[in-house]
Amino acid sequence: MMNKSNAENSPKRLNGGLPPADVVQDGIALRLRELYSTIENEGIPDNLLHLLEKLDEAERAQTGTQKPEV
Amino acid sequence: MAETESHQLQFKRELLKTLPSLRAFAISLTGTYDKADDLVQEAVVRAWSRQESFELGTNMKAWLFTILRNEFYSQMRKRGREISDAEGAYTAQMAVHPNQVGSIDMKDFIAALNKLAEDQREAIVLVCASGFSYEEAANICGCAVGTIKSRINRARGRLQELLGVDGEGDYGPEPHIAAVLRHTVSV
Repeated sequence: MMNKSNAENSPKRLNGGLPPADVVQDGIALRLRELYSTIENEGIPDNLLHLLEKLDEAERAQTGTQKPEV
Repeated sequence: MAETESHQLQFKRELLKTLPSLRAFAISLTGTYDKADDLVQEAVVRAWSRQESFELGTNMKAWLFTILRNEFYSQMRKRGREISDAEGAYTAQMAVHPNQVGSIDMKDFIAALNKLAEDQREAIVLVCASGFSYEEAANICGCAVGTIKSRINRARGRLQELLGVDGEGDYGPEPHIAAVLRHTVSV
């Protein structure tokens, strides 16, 4: 992929949540992964999305009053 | 201020992307969906207020997990450790989603998971479910890498004992998946 292979420069592991290769992949690890993907796939609850919208609005309002538009 | 703007946008995008796994981790800490959602909200507010200090390109997921975990333990300390009735509560909550976590052995698995010591459950969840490396998990928990590894080993041993399995075999994945994994993953 990339020609640089030193670990520090490679992006952080974003492998969809798979455990590191040296973790034993037995039934327990797989079952745990299965459980957590089920929870992750439930999506983001509405109240959390609302919170993000509010934070976003508050931020907009603040930057709007403090700084001129670019 | 275009630079600031793009920092904000990227920050939000990454935050949003991490929320499902952050929430799953919160469920494992608190033991219930309700408490987990409160905890995630608090962590998000905190992260948001510190977004200037987050360096884009570094590990947002680890950063958020650390904030959430610190938030959880500081609340626990404040509340004088009325720690959860997690056992049972988690299972009861999960039972609300019978279609999703319907199999008998998944219920047994959740019950067993709830019997683990907190530090062991946290370690095995971070590495085996949330997908962190041992080093990242150690940073999140503020302990040594070796400590994480030994907690995971103990968690694994305890789960095997509770479930009466050796980790593979009758309890494992479908045989063909297990076979593929044995070939692709160096143990």
